[in-house]
This record gives sequence, C-alpha cells and structure tokens, in this order.
Amino acid sequence: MKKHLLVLLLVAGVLSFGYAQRTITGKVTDAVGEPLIGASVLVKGSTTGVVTDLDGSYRLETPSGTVVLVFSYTGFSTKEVTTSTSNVIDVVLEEGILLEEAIVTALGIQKQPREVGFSVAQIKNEDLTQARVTKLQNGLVGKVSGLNVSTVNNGIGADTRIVLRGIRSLTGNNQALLVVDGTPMPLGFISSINPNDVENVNVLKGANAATLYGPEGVNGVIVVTTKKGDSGSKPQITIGNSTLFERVSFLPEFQTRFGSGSSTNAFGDGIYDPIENQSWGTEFNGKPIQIGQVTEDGKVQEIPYTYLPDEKFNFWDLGQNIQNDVSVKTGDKNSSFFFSVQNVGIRATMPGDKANRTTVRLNAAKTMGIFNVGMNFGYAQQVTDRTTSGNVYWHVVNSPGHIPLTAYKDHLNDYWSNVNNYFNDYYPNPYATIYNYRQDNRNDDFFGNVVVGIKPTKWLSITNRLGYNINSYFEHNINRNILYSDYAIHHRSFASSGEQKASVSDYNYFYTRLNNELVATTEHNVGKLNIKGLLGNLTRQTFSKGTFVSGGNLVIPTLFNVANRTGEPGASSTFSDARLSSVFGSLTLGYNNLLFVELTGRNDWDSRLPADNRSYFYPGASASLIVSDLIPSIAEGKLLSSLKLKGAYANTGNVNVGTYSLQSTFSQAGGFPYGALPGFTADNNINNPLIKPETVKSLEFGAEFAFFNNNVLFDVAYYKQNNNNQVIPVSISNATGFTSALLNAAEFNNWGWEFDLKLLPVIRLGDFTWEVSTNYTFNNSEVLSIYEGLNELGIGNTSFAIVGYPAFVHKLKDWLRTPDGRIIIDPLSGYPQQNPVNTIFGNTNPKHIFGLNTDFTYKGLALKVVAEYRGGNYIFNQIGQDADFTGVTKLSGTNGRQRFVFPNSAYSNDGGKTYINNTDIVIKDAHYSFLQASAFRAVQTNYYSSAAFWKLREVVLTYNVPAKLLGGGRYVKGASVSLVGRNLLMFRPKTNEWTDPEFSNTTGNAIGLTSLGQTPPTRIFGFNVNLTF
Amino acid sequence: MSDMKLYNKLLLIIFVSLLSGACTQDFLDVNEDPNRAVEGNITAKLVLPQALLNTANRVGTSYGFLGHWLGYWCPSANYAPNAEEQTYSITTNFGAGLFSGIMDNTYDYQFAEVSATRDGQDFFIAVAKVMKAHNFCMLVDLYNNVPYTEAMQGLEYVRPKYDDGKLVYEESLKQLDAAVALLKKVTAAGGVDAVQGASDIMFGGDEKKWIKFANTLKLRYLIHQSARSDRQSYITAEIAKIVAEGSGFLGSGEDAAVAPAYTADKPNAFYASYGFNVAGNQATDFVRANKTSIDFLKLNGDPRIGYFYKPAVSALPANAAEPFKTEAPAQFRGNEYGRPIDNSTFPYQIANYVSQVGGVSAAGAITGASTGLVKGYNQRVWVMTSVESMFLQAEAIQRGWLPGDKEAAYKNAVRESFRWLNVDKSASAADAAFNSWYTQQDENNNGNVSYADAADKLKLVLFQKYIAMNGSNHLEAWTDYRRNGAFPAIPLSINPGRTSTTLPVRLLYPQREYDLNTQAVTAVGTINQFTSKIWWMN
Repeated sequence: MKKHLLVLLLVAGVLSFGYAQRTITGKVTDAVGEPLIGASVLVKGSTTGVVTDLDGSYRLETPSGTVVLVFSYTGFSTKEVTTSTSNVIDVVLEEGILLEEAIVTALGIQKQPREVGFSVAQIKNEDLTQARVTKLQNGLVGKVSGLNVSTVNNGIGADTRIVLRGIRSLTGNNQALLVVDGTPMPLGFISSINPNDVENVNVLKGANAATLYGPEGVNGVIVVTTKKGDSGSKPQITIGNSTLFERVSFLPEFQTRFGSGSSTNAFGDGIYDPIENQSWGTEFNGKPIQIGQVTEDGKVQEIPYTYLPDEKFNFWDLGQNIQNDVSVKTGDKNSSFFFSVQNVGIRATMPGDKANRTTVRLNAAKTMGIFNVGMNFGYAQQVTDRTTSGNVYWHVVNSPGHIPLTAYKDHLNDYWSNVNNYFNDYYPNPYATIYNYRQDNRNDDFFGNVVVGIKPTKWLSITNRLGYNINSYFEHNINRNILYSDYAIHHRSFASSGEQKASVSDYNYFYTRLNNELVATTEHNVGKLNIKGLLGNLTRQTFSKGTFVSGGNLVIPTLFNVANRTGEPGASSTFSDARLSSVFGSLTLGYNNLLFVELTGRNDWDSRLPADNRSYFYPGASASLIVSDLIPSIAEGKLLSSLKLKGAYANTGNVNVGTYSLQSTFSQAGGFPYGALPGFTADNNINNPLIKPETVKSLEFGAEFAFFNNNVLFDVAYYKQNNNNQVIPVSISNATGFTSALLNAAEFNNWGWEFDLKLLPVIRLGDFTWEVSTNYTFNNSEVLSIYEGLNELGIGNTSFAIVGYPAFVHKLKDWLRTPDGRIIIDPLSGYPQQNPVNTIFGNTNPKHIFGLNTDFTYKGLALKVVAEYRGGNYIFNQIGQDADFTGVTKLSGTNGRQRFVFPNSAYSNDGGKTYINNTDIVIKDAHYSFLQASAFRAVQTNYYSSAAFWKLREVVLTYNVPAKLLGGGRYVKGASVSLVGRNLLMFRPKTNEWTDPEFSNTTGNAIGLTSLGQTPPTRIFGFNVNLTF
Repeated sequence: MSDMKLYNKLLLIIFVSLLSGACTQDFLDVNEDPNRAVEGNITAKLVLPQALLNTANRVGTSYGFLGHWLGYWCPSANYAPNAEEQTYSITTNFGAGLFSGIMDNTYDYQFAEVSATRDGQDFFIAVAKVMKAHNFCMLVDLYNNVPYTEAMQGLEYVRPKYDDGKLVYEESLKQLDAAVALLKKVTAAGGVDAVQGASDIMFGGDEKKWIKFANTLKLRYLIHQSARSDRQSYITAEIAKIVAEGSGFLGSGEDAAVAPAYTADKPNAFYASYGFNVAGNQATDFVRANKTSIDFLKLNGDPRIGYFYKPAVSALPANAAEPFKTEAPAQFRGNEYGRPIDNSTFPYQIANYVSQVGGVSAAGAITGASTGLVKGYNQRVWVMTSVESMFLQAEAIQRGWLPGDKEAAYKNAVRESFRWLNVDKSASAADAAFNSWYTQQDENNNGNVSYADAADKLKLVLFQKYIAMNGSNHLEAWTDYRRNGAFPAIPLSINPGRTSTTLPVRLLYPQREYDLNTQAVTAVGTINQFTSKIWWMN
C-alpha cells in the first residue's frame, strides 16, 4: 500500500510539472472475453477518466510518465494497473468479491460499498432460492444480521412477520417496507413474488439507510430487484422442477395413562365416561370398552382400552409442494428481456387443504441514444381451498388417547364416523369439521412499472418511474348444512340445538396503488471532490374497497349463494383512500474516494394527517471513511486488507395513523337497523383531530474490516433508536364512556449490535472448499414512558409495554409466592394459591439471533447448510392451557393424578410473617378438581417457557452435472440436481413441552403466544432439478 | 444540441409542475370517513333506540349468574362448571363486562342528552336523564361507590374519581325529578313530536308513561334503602314529592319494555338466549332450572311452575339414578347448583332431562295465547316489568309509605305475575287461575301465599316477589335478597370448593379499573365480595 502513496506523490509531481500528454488505449473484458460496456477507466488520484464503448474499448489521455489506471465495473472487482512503456493496456476484470459489489440503496440508487455510511446487506438469488422456498421472505431467514422473519403459523396462507432491528412503534406497524424494482409495495405482495425471478435482495436495515423513503422507510426496507436479461448474451432458457414434501414434525407432549372422563369418585380417582372429550377417566387397562352412546339401532362401539400413540400424529397429511419453473432471458447491446412462468401446487398437512399459485413475469429494457425505457410486469394468481375452522387442531388434541381418531375419516358414509353416531357427545368429528367449514379464495396480484429515463448530458439523468399495482381478492365461505336424526337431537348433547342450516358469505376486496416517482440525479467532479445530487418527487394514491355479503338459513342446503336464503342478508362495505406527496433530495460529497458524506431530506404531505399538520420534514445524514486508504500503513501487513468506518443519523417519522382516524365515530349497533329504525352507538375509541406522526431518531455506527487479502470479512454495527410521540390507543377507564383514546404519548429506546463474519474459504484443499458465514444480532429496548399517570400499555394477548422494561414483556397470572419465590399453599388443602395481581415476566421479542451459513463444495457437489438460533425471549403457551382443560397433556397427568406435595411450595402459620418449606402437605385432591377445575389452569406461568430454539433451516445438497456429461454444452448448457430439506431439526429447551415458539400468533406486535388455533410445526424435504439451455 | 435544450426545458417544466402539485390541499383532502358516522352527523334520535335496546337486553339477559346464585336457574351437566362462580371466589375479572357495558351504554345516553340539549329536544333530554339514572343506580347496586361526577366526560377526566354510592343515588333521583319536570313541559307544549316518538321504542312517545316509569324507578331506589333507619326522613320527603306529582306508577300491563321491529331472523335477545335459535331449536342447553325454585313452586302448589319452566325434553326413566329425589310432577326438574358433574353415576342431570326456561313450546311470533317467559321472537324485552312495579307499590303500601289496602295491593301484585305470564292463555283466565289457587292456599292456611295466614306480612310480600321475579330481573331479586338480610333462605352452592357461608353481596371492581384508574379505585379501599356492603345494606 505504501506503493500507492508513492504513486500519488508521483502523480502529483507529474501534474505539477505540466501537462505532457500520452494516449492509452485498450479493451476491458470479462473472464470469458465478453466486452464490458461502460466500464470506468480512471487515472488514479485525478478526475480524468473515460468509460468503455460498446466493444469494451477505451481511449484515455493521461499525463505522460507512469500513472495508475483504475478499472472498475459494477459487479466486478476493481483492478489497478500501473502504466509501463506500452500505450495499450487490455484488462480482464474478475467477477467481484463481495466487498466491492455495488449495492442498491434507497430509490434503486446503486452505490459502491465504500460510499455507504449505513448498514445494507445483499442476498443473491442462489442463496435466496437454494432451499426452493415458495415465499421469498423464507429465503432470507438466517442470512443477514438484524433481520427477524417469523412464520406466525403453519398451513396454507400462513403469515410471516418481517422485522428489521427490533421495533420502533409500540402499537403500530414495525414491519419492513417492500420495494420491488424501485417501487414501494404493500408488504403482503412479497408472498406473490416468485423467488426464482429475484436477482437479489438488498436489506436496508435501518431508518438511516432509508431516509429518502421518509416515514415509510423507518422500519428498514427490503429492496427486491428482479432479473433482467443480460445485455449481449445469447438466449438462455432455464427449466426447473422442485418436489417437496411436508410432514408434521412434532406435537405437544401427551399423558398416556388415562382415558375419557370428566369427574372423580369418592376416592379421588377418575371415572370412565364413554362419551366424553375430556381425558379425566380411569387408567388404560387394555380391556374392551364401550365408547360413545348406544345408537338408535341399539349398536355399541367397543374398542380396547389402550393408548394409541400415533393417532394425533397420523391425523395430519403428508403435504406436497410442487414447483415448475420456466424462464427465458436474452439481450443485446441496447436491450434486455426476461420472461418467466412458475406454477406452485401445494397440498397442506391439514387434510383437504390445497393451493395453487401461478406467477408470470416480463422484464424488458431498451436504450435509445439518450433515452432508456424499461418495464417490469409481474402477475400472480393464487387459488386456495381450505377449511375455515380454527378448531381442528383443538378437536384432534382433545380426542382421548384410546380413540382411533384416524378411523373416522369417512364421516359421510361410515357408521361410527357419521354425525349421529360419533362417539364424542360434545365435540364433532374433526374430519367432519374440516368438511363442513370451507373457504375458496382467489388472490390476483398485478404489478407493473414503466421506467423512462433520459440522460441529456454527462452529469444529469432524469428518471420517471410509474408503478401500478392491483390486488383483487375474492373469498367464498361456506358452512354446510348439518342435519341430525331426531334421535340424536333428543339424546346427543351436540345435537340438542338441532339442525345447523347452511350459510354462506362472500368477500371481495379490491386494492390499487399508483406510485409515481420522478428523480433527477447529477454528478460532478471538482478536483478531488465528487458531488452527487438528487432531487425527486413522489405522488401516491392508494385506494381500496371491500364488500362483504352473507346469508344464513340457506333454503337449498347445497346451493351456496346469498340469494338462496331466508331473512336479511348481512352486508357491509369499507372504503379507504389515502394520498401522499413527497419531495426529497440528497447531496453526497465524496473526497478523494475515501471520505463520503451524504445529506438527505424529505418532506411529506400525508392525507391521513390533520390538514394543519400534515406536512413533515425528515432530515438525515451519513458518512463513511475508508481508513485504510487514508492511512495506508494500517493495511500494510498481511492481516488487515481494508477498514471502513461509517456512521449515520436520521430523524424520521412513523405515520401510524390509519385513514379516517381523526374523528370519533359511531356505528350501527348489532341487529340494527330494525326495519326503518336505525340505531347508532358511539364507538369505543376517542379519535384525535390533533394527532401527529411518531418521531424516530435513529443513530448508527459501524466498521467493516477485511483481513487476509479480503478472505475474512467482518462487519460490526451499533444502532440506537429513540422512538417518541408514539401514536397509541391509550386504554382509559370505562367510566369515561370509552375504552381507549388515540394519543401521542409514550417513548422508548431500541438498540442493538450486529455482527457479520464471512470466512471465504476456511479450507481450500484442491477441489474442496469450505466457506462459512455467520451473523449475530443483539436487540433490546426499554420503555421510558407511557402516558401521564399510566405506566403500562397492554397491546394484546399477554404483551405489555411497561416503563423500565423492554418492549414487550409478558404479564401473567402467577401463583402467590414467598419473597424468595416459593409457591404459597393453603396448609389445610395443600392447594397453591393464585396471585390476584398479574406479574411481569420476560420479553417477547428475541434478544439474540444467530445465523450460521456454511457451504462445502467439491467439484460439482455442493452442500449448503443454514442454521439459526433465536433466544432471550419467552412465550406463553396457551396451547398448553387449552389442552390441559381436556386432560390430554403431559402436565395434566402430573404424578399420575395422585395427591402430591406441590413442588417448591411453602406455607405460613402466622398470617404470612414467616414461611415454612412444604415437604409433607399434599394437595387435597390432585385430580380433575385441581388440575382442571381449579386455579391451576388459570395460572399462566404453568405454561410459560423460554422461546429459544435452534433450527436447521436449510440443508441443500446439489450436484452440478459437468459439461462433458451434457454433450459439451451444445444443447444443454447446465444441469443440477438437489436434495433439499427445510426445518429438518429443531432444538428447544425442555421446559417447552408444547410447540414451535416461532409461531407467535400475529404479524402485529402482540407476539409471544401459541394457541390451538395454529397448526403443528412441520419439516419439509424433497428434491429439485434444474436445466439450462 | 438545440433539441437537447428543448428536452431539458420540457423536463424542467414537468418537474416543477409536479413539485408544485405535490402540495395542493385538494389532492390530499380525501380523509372524510366514508365508512362510519361521526359526531357531526349523529343526533339523539339515531342513538336512543339502540341505547334503550342495549339497556333492556342487559336487564333481560346479563344476570344469568345471579339466577344461579339465587336458585332460579342452574347450568346443565353438559358443561364443565365455572369454578369461580360456583365457589363464590370471584375475581376482578368476574362480571367485568357489566361495568364496561353499563358505562358504554350510559355514554350513549350522555351523548343523546348533550345532542338533544343542543337541538332543544326536551323529550329526548328527559329520556336520556331517566335512563342515565337507571344505569348509575344499577352500577351502585353492583359495585356501591362508582365514578359519577367525573364519569362520561371522555378525555376531560381520563381517570374519573369514585363517588359515594349514596351520593350517586341521591343525584340520580334528582335527575329523575328533572326529567319529570321536562316531560311535564312536553305535555304542556302539546306532547311529543311524532318523529321523536318513532324512535322511542319503549313507550312510543307517550311522555305520560315515561313520567310513570320515572316515578316507579324512584320508588324502586327508595325501597332499596328501606332497611336503613337513617334514611326514613329522606324517603318520606321523596315519596311525598312523587305523590304530589300525581301521575302514579306503572300499573297492570304497563311494562317499561322495548320492541323494535323484531323478525324471526332478528328476534329479541331474551328469546334468542333462552328460547329458540333461528333454526327454531332450543337456544341453550346450558341454562336449566334450579331445584330451589322448582321446590318452592311445588311446595306451594303454584301453577306458575309450568310458566317459569318448561317440562324436560326427555322424560326421566323409571328408577333413574338421581343425586336427590325429584318431587312430583317429575317433568319439572331442577339441578342442584354447584354439584360436581358425574354423568356416569347420574346421567340425567344433562340438559334434556332438566326443565328449560319457561315459555311457548315452539318457535314463532307472540300471540294472545303465548305464555311464560319466552313468548315469541317479537316479544318486548323489559327494563322493568309491571309485576315489579306492582310489588314495589305493594311493599310501599305494606310499609305505610303509600296509602292503600295492604292485602289488596299484595294480591294485585301476585295476580299481575299470573297475568304477565299469561297463565291459561288470557288475562281473564290468568285471574281465574290466580283466584282459585289463592283460595285453595288460603284454605290450606299456607302462610307462604295467603296474606291472612302469613305471620309476617312484609316477608310474605318479599317472598312472593322473589317467586315472581324468576327469569325477569335477577339483579333486582339479588338486591332484595341483600337488603332484606338474606331473605328468603336460598341453599348455597354445594360446590366442595365454596369458600363462604354467605352469597357475595357485590361484585369486585373490574381489573381494568385497577390497571387504568388505579388511584381512584384503590382510594375506595380494599373490597371483599362478602363483607364490603352496598351502602343501602344494613
């Protein structure tokens, strides 16, 4: 590196000695000899430079004498060549190493990493799609720091929650912004993107990176760039197939000793009940036993009274996911073209549920002189056929252990499975539930943008990007007619309400979003100063309309049409119209290619805000410094190759205000109107005509190290966000007449560390290489205030924001405890006592996320593994609380339901002054009346556990068929075969007996709860074949 | 190159015009709510029908747990027991919906009063005042001290203080007086405007009935405090005001009850809760008869047994195992409250073997021949029944507060219960049934029925009121039980986990108040459901 300093001095010397000229020509190509068009050739330390022409050729006037030429091209590593006597210098550029790859920042602006003062991470297509995910977001998991993608449930259409760097809003949206080919999109659209169409994903982790997006970018941005045809390449056709299977991976732990019943005898032992859904009966004994009632025909169903271990597991189907892909890409000097079609067929583990998604994409671009035009069109259609019952898992779980559940599949024909004869008197056959409550839905997503650019001069380019997005969603819900026999109506509990008439409801949703961005950029060099300016305007219009109609009491029970009803139909509609205007700009100053400062500003006018304060300005600044260039001596040794320092600050808003949230509202109460009589009631929330956006002040620092000739890359970043003026519905006393008021209140801090370490080959032995990259994220937060006189804010489920604690913590019902934590029992009954006041427990958001990616390659074979750890958070497993009700869980079998000393308990004989360790007072009755009917189940801490887990997210073994086996690549240019596994293994603490803690209930903030409304976790495995022509 | 300059100029013009367009107000003025009504377009007329229906539905259907506690109703053995309710070990979550629901409902009256005041609608102001008084007194009867002076003010008082229950009562009575004065003004001005009358689903715009209702409510709240010897002079003065006013009380056949245009698909809430579902089948297999009331009725040979209750759907088989013996007639069966469910030993405590809430045997509209509690999908749901009004008057006369024949007033009240249930399908038949039953019990010297034979006449009135309130207003029945020193003697829950030898005398303030209005609610002091009395209790 000292050499460079010398060169600089020399150049300076040359310049000072006058301007003797010399002409150097040459050609810049890639490794296979294709010319690189528009590669930059620069005399180092000066502003003199040219770009290569269509043949990759250049011609450059340089000062006479020895100079260093810097050759660079996006996506390729930069090369420096010192001139010798020859005036012809041809250069071959290698596909770049990561550090120098251009990254996409806000508004699709490409920057060299050295210019960037904030955290951005890029994930390329091959890493995204290696495990053949059907949803793009699932391909991001575990691959970059700062990112938390959670699947909140399983099954068809399961939602994901995508959060970057923790949370910034207590009750509002914390999910990242999605930008597709430069146009901001609703996040839900991410599920409609074919992952194979994606060239790369740039993750702008914080508000700092996204200041140009204003409030929208406050939660970070997922920038998706879809594939383009390669200019100058021959047509390339790729076809692929993936066939994946999905299997339930585990269920809660069950007790295996007791069958059905719901009461105890005088000795405190369970009593067998043949018609019960609850499992509080006698112990299994293997003898024949009656289940269900005697039927109308006098028949009795008799089975062995034996625990059947696999029934609840075998209930779930083997899921299937078949993806077929075709894509074509081509291009020439001035145009590019990409076209793809994908079909995904899904059969879920929920019996009978299926979905099918087809996506089509067309990207094309053309350059004509100073103009360039591009268009990106994507269309996705998904049809889904699924059950709407949220009770299937519940019905399966509470089926007593001796019941041969899977024998009742044929509920329409089989005698013992049908509606009148099913053994259970209280709950229906789950197969019938699946059949009776169904939904067909269809989701159409169209997205297109047209980009028109003009570059009238060297220093100015103007681009207009018009994006349009239409979502159309249709849903048809049916509840089938359930007809009971007269005998059943009189003798079976579930039938006592008589026939359930068929009903139907339809929901239509239409959404459009028009997004126009006009951006002018300019670049100019003044001496060593590089100045880039940007000025832009955004106009957006979002409109949606939803219509819901329903009809009960269908006259013809199999005709599911609202017109086929008696009585009034249900009907409602909602409209939403929002508009946004913005002006934004940025100024970037680069000094000598080693110090960069960027200033940004944006002003928004948002229709959702009150007219008087709907205009907001959001400034930001960032800087980066290439220390290793400034002080070359520090990178002199073999150890450190380069060092960059970065920092950024942004003051952003967060408009967590829905449309029409300024005025308090009234709605027609249930039942009204009665004929001509309307009846309105004041809604429960006090809206606020003075509401303002939330403010987020975001600060980050970081450093990027490269060691051992760029073979070891280490990034570290620290961020802190202060989030104030939260827009929160503050809960208020019912005596006000309302339940909540929308106010600007509450403040909290959110901070964290991010580390990314890449070891590019750890080992390289001949053809064998091993690479490892890891990332670690630490995130924490602290609530500073809520509202005058109020120290906590419940945000749903058991989640609370409480002053002095992280957002969010659980507040749970616990036992009464002694000061040292022992559970206080009543010395007479031995029963532990419930604490009437709920207690604060651990946080719901993970503090630690650790991702491990490792690749092994040997010739054509590659093994890629992605593992992820999340921890430092806790979960309330309501699933256990629910399942204990029916006495099926392991916990409900505690001590064989015999009287026992409650563990870790104590009692007091002096009214609570002192406590004596309890070693001998047993619970008076440790069966049904304690485990089910007492406070035991109500005490939520019995179902509280660490939410930590390790998951083996992806394991992919790929064989790339060598060219010689493909006939020298004349017809088939490439072929690969992969074995794919996802979520194959999961490790969790022993205290979590229930389910996958990643299933955290909601895409909103009130996470940290599992329930039986979710379906069990699964593992996915299969294979993939890809051919390129 | 001149072309290039033209482009530049053109683009500059477009750019600047877009920037300037960005800030125009018109473009952004799209935030008028197209989905919901806002204060500006809502008036009292649109709010009152809903508010009245809400109040009536609460009176009619929200006090099922009191029905259990007081021996009227009992859950069937189809359901796992509610341990909290059955052991009386209620928590701050128990019945929390009552506090929030009543407050929510009261705000609609508050809004109607403000809105009607703005629009100069005296009748609506009066209606709102009457109903607010009703709701606040109901809150006191459940919780004693409640927010009043700072309540219903929205953001003005986010944490309203708690006022003394007695103060809330006295202020509410003043509001009733004010309402009566306004209603008299309406009469003087020529009566209620027809448009306003159309939204009065209680009395159809009959302001004179509203005055009677207000007077009857006043009487109710005065009688609530009858056990307090220190209140006698207040009571005397207030009674004198009612007498001086002169409109009297709700009389025979005069229910304060609401009926919007119910249809078979949108039936009234009482019918939907305890009668029939839309498909025409029994609405509930949870609510069933309680052995206590069944036994009282059987003991007195009371023909109303078949009107408060229905015969069990399925007859009890001969020699069926029962946890206790059912007296004849066996088709009327009740469950014992708090008995642990043991369907294998006692399989006949499930829904179909126990009596339902009484009423018509088939789904349909109310007719002249509809009897019992559940009469038809379009029956009125009551805020106060004529039966209660007649018993209040009988008690006031018995106590000497009002002039009149004590025995006649008592018999009129009981007879009103027969009429209200439409015993034997018509008013005249109901009178005949009452007369023959009363004569028979009188001949049997049954002091539980016969005024002449009763040792304690006041207790007789109170006992028969307890019988008559079955299913129609369990809160008032609980209030009577509490103010009269746990009379009549009702067996307590036999749940082995029961923690007390008495019924709770109140509910606990909801957890939400402890969480959100901590200072105000804790200032009331520690609350115990057995010992923290309502102010009017002795």
